[in-house]
Amino acid sequence: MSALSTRRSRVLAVAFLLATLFGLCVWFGSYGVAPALGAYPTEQVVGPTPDQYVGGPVTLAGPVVDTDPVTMRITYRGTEARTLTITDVETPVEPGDELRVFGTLVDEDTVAATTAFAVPPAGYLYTYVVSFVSGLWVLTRLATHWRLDAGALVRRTEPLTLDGVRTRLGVGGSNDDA
Amino acid sequence: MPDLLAHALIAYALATLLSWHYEWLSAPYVTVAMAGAFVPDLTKVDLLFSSELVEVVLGIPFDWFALHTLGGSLVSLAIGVVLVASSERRRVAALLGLGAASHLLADALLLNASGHSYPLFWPLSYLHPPTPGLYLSTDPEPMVVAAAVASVVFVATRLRTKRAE
Repeated sequence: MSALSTRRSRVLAVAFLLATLFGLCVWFGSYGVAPALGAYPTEQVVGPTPDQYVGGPVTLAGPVVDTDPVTMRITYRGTEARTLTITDVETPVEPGDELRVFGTLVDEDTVAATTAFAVPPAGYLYTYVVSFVSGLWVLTRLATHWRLDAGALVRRTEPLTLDGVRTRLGVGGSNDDA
Repeated sequence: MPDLLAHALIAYALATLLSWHYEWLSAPYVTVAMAGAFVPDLTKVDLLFSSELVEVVLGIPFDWFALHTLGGSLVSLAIGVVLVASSERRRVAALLGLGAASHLLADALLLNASGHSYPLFWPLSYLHPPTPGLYLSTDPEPMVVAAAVASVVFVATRLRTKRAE
Protein backbone atom coordinates (compact mmCIF):
# COMPACT_ATOMS: atom_id res chain seq x y z
CA MET A 1 0.00 0.00 0.00
CA SER A 2 1.75 3.13 -1.14
CA ALA A 3 -1.04 5.68 -0.74
CA LEU A 4 -0.24 8.56 1.60
CA SER A 5 3.41 7.64 1.83
CA THR A 6 4.95 11.00 0.97
CA ARG A 7 5.29 13.84 3.43
CA ARG A 8 3.22 16.14 1.20
CA SER A 9 0.31 13.71 0.89
CA ARG A 10 0.36 13.12 4.65
CA VAL A 11 0.25 16.84 5.39
CA LEU A 12 -2.68 17.25 3.00
CA ALA A 13 -4.53 14.29 4.51
CA VAL A 14 -4.03 15.58 8.07
CA ALA A 15 -5.21 19.06 7.04
CA PHE A 16 -8.31 17.52 5.48
CA LEU A 17 -9.01 15.47 8.62
CA LEU A 18 -8.54 18.50 10.88
CA ALA A 19 -10.97 20.46 8.71
CA THR A 20 -13.43 17.57 9.02
CA LEU A 21 -13.07 17.61 12.82
CA PHE A 22 -13.75 21.34 12.82
CA GLY A 23 -16.85 20.70 10.71
CA LEU A 24 -18.05 18.03 13.13
CA CYS A 25 -17.65 20.43 16.07
CA VAL A 26 -19.71 23.07 14.24
CA TRP A 27 -22.35 20.49 13.33
CA PHE A 28 -22.53 19.14 16.89
CA GLY A 29 -22.73 22.68 18.22
CA SER A 30 -25.87 23.27 16.19
CA TYR A 31 -27.80 20.60 18.11
CA GLY A 32 -30.36 21.81 20.59
CA VAL A 33 -32.34 20.43 23.46
CA ALA A 34 -34.02 17.06 22.78
CA PRO A 35 -35.61 15.64 25.94
CA ALA A 36 -37.02 12.66 24.03
CA LEU A 37 -33.43 11.62 23.29
CA GLY A 38 -32.21 12.29 26.83
CA ALA A 39 -30.70 15.69 25.96
CA TYR A 40 -32.22 17.93 28.63
CA PRO A 41 -31.76 21.70 28.89
CA THR A 42 -28.43 22.54 30.53
CA GLU A 43 -27.09 25.75 32.06
CA GLN A 44 -26.09 26.90 28.57
CA VAL A 45 -29.76 27.46 27.67
CA VAL A 46 -31.39 27.68 31.11
CA GLY A 47 -28.98 30.49 32.00
CA PRO A 48 -29.86 32.99 29.27
CA THR A 49 -33.54 32.06 28.68
CA PRO A 50 -34.95 30.33 31.79
CA ASP A 51 -38.54 31.39 31.00
CA GLN A 52 -38.68 28.94 28.09
CA TYR A 53 -37.98 25.96 30.35
CA VAL A 54 -40.12 26.70 33.43
CA GLY A 55 -42.20 23.66 34.37
CA GLY A 56 -39.95 21.21 32.55
CA PRO A 57 -36.94 19.03 33.30
CA VAL A 58 -33.45 20.58 33.41
CA THR A 59 -30.00 19.21 34.17
CA LEU A 60 -27.51 21.62 35.70
CA ALA A 61 -23.98 21.60 37.07
CA GLY A 62 -22.12 24.26 39.00
CA PRO A 63 -20.54 25.18 42.32
CA VAL A 64 -22.56 25.33 45.54
CA VAL A 65 -22.72 28.91 46.84
CA ASP A 66 -24.73 28.41 50.02
CA THR A 67 -26.33 25.50 51.84
CA ASP A 68 -29.37 26.89 53.66
CA PRO A 69 -31.18 26.95 51.35
CA VAL A 70 -28.95 25.25 48.78
CA THR A 71 -27.99 27.69 46.06
CA MET A 72 -25.71 27.04 43.11
CA ARG A 73 -24.09 29.20 40.47
CA ILE A 74 -24.44 28.32 36.82
CA THR A 75 -22.28 29.93 34.14
CA TYR A 76 -23.11 30.29 30.48
CA ARG A 77 -21.89 32.10 27.36
CA GLY A 78 -18.42 31.90 28.85
CA THR A 79 -18.63 34.68 31.39
CA GLU A 80 -22.25 35.19 32.44
CA ALA A 81 -23.57 33.63 35.63
CA ARG A 82 -26.73 33.28 37.69
CA THR A 83 -27.52 31.84 41.10
CA LEU A 84 -30.39 29.37 41.48
CA THR A 85 -32.06 27.94 44.56
CA ILE A 86 -32.25 24.15 44.58
CA THR A 87 -34.95 22.56 46.75
CA ASP A 88 -35.34 18.91 47.78
CA VAL A 89 -31.59 18.25 47.85
CA GLU A 90 -31.22 15.11 49.94
CA THR A 91 -27.48 14.69 49.72
CA PRO A 92 -25.12 16.63 52.04
CA VAL A 93 -23.43 19.54 50.23
CA GLU A 94 -20.67 21.99 51.14
CA PRO A 95 -19.96 25.39 49.61
CA GLY A 96 -17.43 24.90 46.82
CA ASP A 97 -18.62 21.39 45.91
CA GLU A 98 -19.78 20.95 42.35
CA LEU A 99 -23.47 20.18 42.45
CA ARG A 100 -25.05 18.18 39.64
CA VAL A 101 -28.80 18.37 39.58
CA PHE A 102 -31.61 16.91 37.55
CA GLY A 103 -35.04 18.27 38.36
CA THR A 104 -37.91 20.55 37.46
CA LEU A 105 -37.44 24.26 36.85
CA VAL A 106 -40.20 25.53 39.17
CA ASP A 107 -39.67 29.19 38.34
CA GLU A 108 -36.86 31.16 36.73
CA ASP A 109 -34.70 30.96 39.86
CA THR A 110 -35.68 27.65 41.48
CA VAL A 111 -35.14 23.98 40.68
CA ALA A 112 -36.91 21.17 42.55
CA ALA A 113 -34.33 18.40 42.47
CA THR A 114 -35.23 14.84 41.52
CA THR A 115 -31.62 13.65 41.62
CA ALA A 116 -28.69 15.64 42.99
CA PHE A 117 -25.17 14.78 44.00
CA ALA A 118 -22.13 16.80 44.99
CA VAL A 119 -18.53 16.35 43.90
CA PRO A 120 -15.95 17.78 46.30
CA PRO A 121 -13.09 19.83 44.75
CA ALA A 122 -10.54 17.18 45.86
CA GLY A 123 -12.16 14.80 43.35
CA TYR A 124 -11.16 17.04 40.45
CA LEU A 125 -7.63 17.45 41.78
CA TYR A 126 -7.33 13.65 41.94
CA THR A 127 -8.55 13.25 38.36
CA TYR A 128 -6.20 15.90 36.94
CA VAL A 129 -3.10 14.61 38.74
CA VAL A 130 -3.71 10.96 37.85
CA SER A 131 -4.56 11.82 34.23
CA PHE A 132 -1.33 13.81 33.90
CA VAL A 133 0.69 10.87 35.22
CA SER A 134 -0.95 8.49 32.74
CA GLY A 135 -0.22 10.94 29.92
CA LEU A 136 3.47 10.77 30.80
CA TRP A 137 3.30 6.98 31.00
CA VAL A 138 1.82 6.58 27.52
CA LEU A 139 4.13 9.23 26.02
CA THR A 140 7.12 7.37 27.43
CA ARG A 141 5.86 4.11 25.97
CA LEU A 142 5.29 5.77 22.58
CA ALA A 143 8.84 7.15 22.56
CA THR A 144 10.15 3.72 23.56
CA HIS A 145 8.30 1.80 20.87
CA TRP A 146 7.97 4.23 17.95
CA ARG A 147 10.20 6.76 16.22
CA LEU A 148 9.76 9.50 13.65
CA ASP A 149 11.24 8.83 10.24
CA ALA A 150 10.70 11.36 7.44
CA GLY A 151 7.40 12.48 8.90
CA ALA A 152 6.05 8.99 9.58
CA LEU A 153 5.87 7.01 12.81
CA VAL A 154 7.84 3.80 12.48
CA ARG A 155 7.94 0.94 14.93
CA ARG A 156 11.31 0.47 16.59
CA THR A 157 12.73 -3.00 16.11
CA GLU A 158 14.71 -2.54 19.32
CA PRO A 159 12.90 -0.67 22.08
CA LEU A 160 14.57 2.58 23.08
CA THR A 161 16.23 2.25 26.47
CA LEU A 162 17.54 4.83 28.89
CA ASP A 163 21.10 3.91 27.87
CA GLY A 164 20.14 4.45 24.26
CA VAL A 165 18.88 7.95 25.10
CA ARG A 166 22.09 8.74 27.00
CA THR A 167 24.28 7.61 24.12
CA ARG A 168 22.28 9.65 21.66
CA LEU A 169 22.45 12.78 23.79
CA GLY A 170 26.18 12.24 24.20
CA VAL A 171 26.01 12.10 27.98
CA GLY A 172 26.84 8.41 28.20
CA GLY A 173 30.59 8.45 28.78
CA SER A 174 32.48 11.63 29.66
CA ASN A 175 29.44 13.58 30.90
CA ASP A 176 31.45 16.80 30.72
CA ASP A 177 28.59 19.31 30.65
CA ALA A 178 26.91 18.04 33.81
CA MET B 1 -14.68 10.25 32.02
CA PRO B 2 -13.07 8.06 34.60
CA ASP B 3 -9.54 9.46 34.82
CA LEU B 4 -7.18 8.86 31.91
CA LEU B 5 -5.18 6.36 33.93
CA ALA B 6 -8.24 4.11 34.19
CA HIS B 7 -8.76 4.41 30.42
CA ALA B 8 -5.09 3.62 29.70
CA LEU B 9 -5.17 0.60 32.02
CA ILE B 10 -8.36 -0.77 30.45
CA ALA B 11 -6.83 -0.47 26.97
CA TYR B 12 -3.59 -2.06 28.21
CA ALA B 13 -5.49 -5.04 29.65
CA LEU B 14 -7.64 -5.52 26.53
CA ALA B 15 -4.75 -5.27 24.07
CA THR B 16 -2.52 -7.52 26.17
CA LEU B 17 -5.26 -10.16 26.37
CA LEU B 18 -5.65 -9.97 22.58
CA SER B 19 -1.88 -10.50 22.27
CA TRP B 20 -2.44 -14.05 23.58
CA HIS B 21 -4.33 -14.75 20.38
CA TYR B 22 -2.50 -12.55 17.87
CA GLU B 23 1.21 -13.19 17.83
CA TRP B 24 2.05 -9.93 16.03
CA LEU B 25 0.45 -7.89 18.81
CA SER B 26 3.67 -6.91 20.58
CA ALA B 27 4.28 -4.17 23.16
CA PRO B 28 4.45 -1.34 20.58
CA TYR B 29 0.90 -2.20 19.49
CA VAL B 30 -0.32 -2.36 23.08
CA THR B 31 1.02 1.19 23.37
CA VAL B 32 -1.03 2.18 20.32
CA ALA B 33 -4.21 0.89 21.99
CA MET B 34 -3.35 2.93 25.09
CA ALA B 35 -2.86 6.04 22.96
CA GLY B 36 -6.21 5.27 21.31
CA ALA B 37 -7.82 5.30 24.75
CA PHE B 38 -6.83 8.99 25.02
CA VAL B 39 -8.40 9.97 21.70
CA PRO B 40 -11.98 10.81 22.84
CA ASP B 41 -10.58 13.04 25.59
CA LEU B 42 -9.16 15.38 22.97
CA THR B 43 -12.49 17.02 23.77
CA LYS B 44 -10.77 18.35 26.90
CA VAL B 45 -9.17 21.04 24.75
CA ASP B 46 -12.38 22.70 25.93
CA LEU B 47 -10.62 23.40 29.24
CA LEU B 48 -8.15 25.62 27.36
CA PHE B 49 -10.44 27.16 24.74
CA SER B 50 -14.04 26.64 25.77
CA SER B 51 -16.66 25.86 23.15
CA GLU B 52 -18.51 29.06 24.11
CA LEU B 53 -15.35 31.11 23.58
CA VAL B 54 -14.90 29.60 20.09
CA GLU B 55 -18.59 30.30 19.35
CA VAL B 56 -18.24 33.93 20.36
CA VAL B 57 -14.99 34.45 18.44
CA LEU B 58 -16.17 32.75 15.23
CA GLY B 59 -19.83 33.66 15.51
CA ILE B 60 -21.00 30.12 14.62
CA PRO B 61 -22.26 27.21 16.74
CA PHE B 62 -19.40 25.10 18.05
CA ASP B 63 -18.95 22.25 20.51
CA TRP B 64 -15.70 20.38 21.15
CA PHE B 65 -17.80 17.52 22.48
CA ALA B 66 -18.10 16.20 18.91
CA LEU B 67 -14.60 14.79 19.50
CA HIS B 68 -15.99 12.58 22.28
CA THR B 69 -18.36 10.72 19.95
CA LEU B 70 -18.06 7.86 17.48
CA GLY B 71 -17.68 10.22 14.50
CA GLY B 72 -15.19 12.57 16.12
CA SER B 73 -13.08 9.71 17.44
CA LEU B 74 -12.98 7.97 14.05
CA VAL B 75 -11.75 11.11 12.31
CA SER B 76 -9.23 11.79 15.11
CA LEU B 77 -7.77 8.32 14.95
CA ALA B 78 -7.58 8.54 11.17
CA ILE B 79 -4.94 11.23 11.78
CA GLY B 80 -2.88 8.66 13.69
CA VAL B 81 -3.38 6.16 10.89
CA VAL B 82 -2.11 8.67 8.30
CA LEU B 83 0.97 9.41 10.40
CA VAL B 84 2.25 5.84 10.72
CA ALA B 85 4.20 3.96 8.07
CA SER B 86 1.94 2.44 5.38
CA SER B 87 2.77 -1.12 6.42
CA GLU B 88 1.48 -0.50 9.96
CA ARG B 89 -1.79 1.20 9.09
CA ARG B 90 -4.17 -1.72 9.34
CA ARG B 91 -2.92 -2.81 12.76
CA VAL B 92 -2.66 0.71 14.11
CA ALA B 93 -6.20 1.50 12.96
CA ALA B 94 -7.52 -1.62 14.72
CA LEU B 95 -5.74 -0.88 18.00
CA LEU B 96 -6.46 2.86 18.08
CA GLY B 97 -10.08 1.87 17.47
CA LEU B 98 -10.01 -0.67 20.29
CA GLY B 99 -8.63 1.94 22.71
CA ALA B 100 -11.07 4.66 21.66
CA ALA B 101 -14.07 2.30 21.77
CA SER B 102 -13.16 1.11 25.28
CA HIS B 103 -13.00 4.76 26.36
CA LEU B 104 -16.39 5.66 24.89
CA LEU B 105 -18.03 2.60 26.47
CA ALA B 106 -16.46 3.14 29.90
CA ASP B 107 -17.70 6.73 29.82
CA ALA B 108 -21.21 5.64 28.87
CA LEU B 109 -21.48 3.99 32.31
CA LEU B 110 -20.76 7.21 34.23
CA LEU B 111 -23.21 8.47 36.82
CA ASN B 112 -25.28 11.36 35.53
CA ALA B 113 -28.00 13.21 37.44
CA SER B 114 -30.43 12.90 34.52
CA GLY B 115 -29.93 9.12 34.28
CA HIS B 116 -28.90 9.57 30.68
CA SER B 117 -25.44 9.25 29.26
CA TYR B 118 -24.06 11.17 26.28
CA PRO B 119 -24.55 10.71 22.50
CA LEU B 120 -21.61 8.35 21.98
CA PHE B 121 -22.95 7.06 18.64
CA TRP B 122 -23.22 10.51 17.07
CA PRO B 123 -23.52 11.29 14.15
CA LEU B 124 -25.38 7.99 13.69
CA SER B 125 -27.73 9.02 16.49
CA TYR B 126 -28.12 11.91 18.93
CA LEU B 127 -29.65 9.53 21.49
CA HIS B 128 -28.23 9.89 25.02
CA PRO B 129 -28.64 6.26 26.16
CA PRO B 130 -29.65 5.56 29.76
CA THR B 131 -26.64 5.04 32.00
CA PRO B 132 -26.36 2.53 34.84
CA GLY B 133 -24.44 5.25 36.72
CA LEU B 134 -21.68 3.01 38.01
CA TYR B 135 -19.17 5.72 38.97
CA LEU B 136 -18.25 9.38 38.91
CA SER B 137 -15.45 10.77 36.80
CA THR B 138 -13.78 11.88 40.01
CA ASP B 139 -13.96 8.49 41.78
CA PRO B 140 -10.69 6.58 42.12
CA GLU B 141 -12.50 3.21 42.17
CA PRO B 142 -12.59 2.61 38.37
CA MET B 143 -8.84 3.21 38.26
CA VAL B 144 -8.23 0.84 41.19
CA VAL B 145 -10.31 -1.91 39.57
CA ALA B 146 -8.68 -1.33 36.16
CA ALA B 147 -5.22 -1.41 37.78
CA ALA B 148 -6.00 -4.69 39.54
CA VAL B 149 -7.23 -6.28 36.31
CA ALA B 150 -4.25 -4.93 34.35
CA SER B 151 -1.85 -6.35 36.97
CA VAL B 152 -3.41 -9.80 36.74
CA VAL B 153 -3.19 -9.66 32.93
CA PHE B 154 0.43 -8.48 33.15
CA VAL B 155 1.49 -11.33 35.45
CA ALA B 156 -0.50 -13.97 33.53
CA THR B 157 1.12 -12.81 30.28
CA ARG B 158 4.59 -13.05 31.84
CA LEU B 159 3.87 -16.59 33.04
CA ARG B 160 2.56 -17.61 29.60
CA THR B 161 5.66 -16.30 27.82
CA LYS B 162 7.94 -18.00 30.32
CA ARG B 163 6.15 -21.31 29.88
CA ALA B 164 6.37 -21.00 26.09
CA GLU B 165 10.14 -20.48 26.22
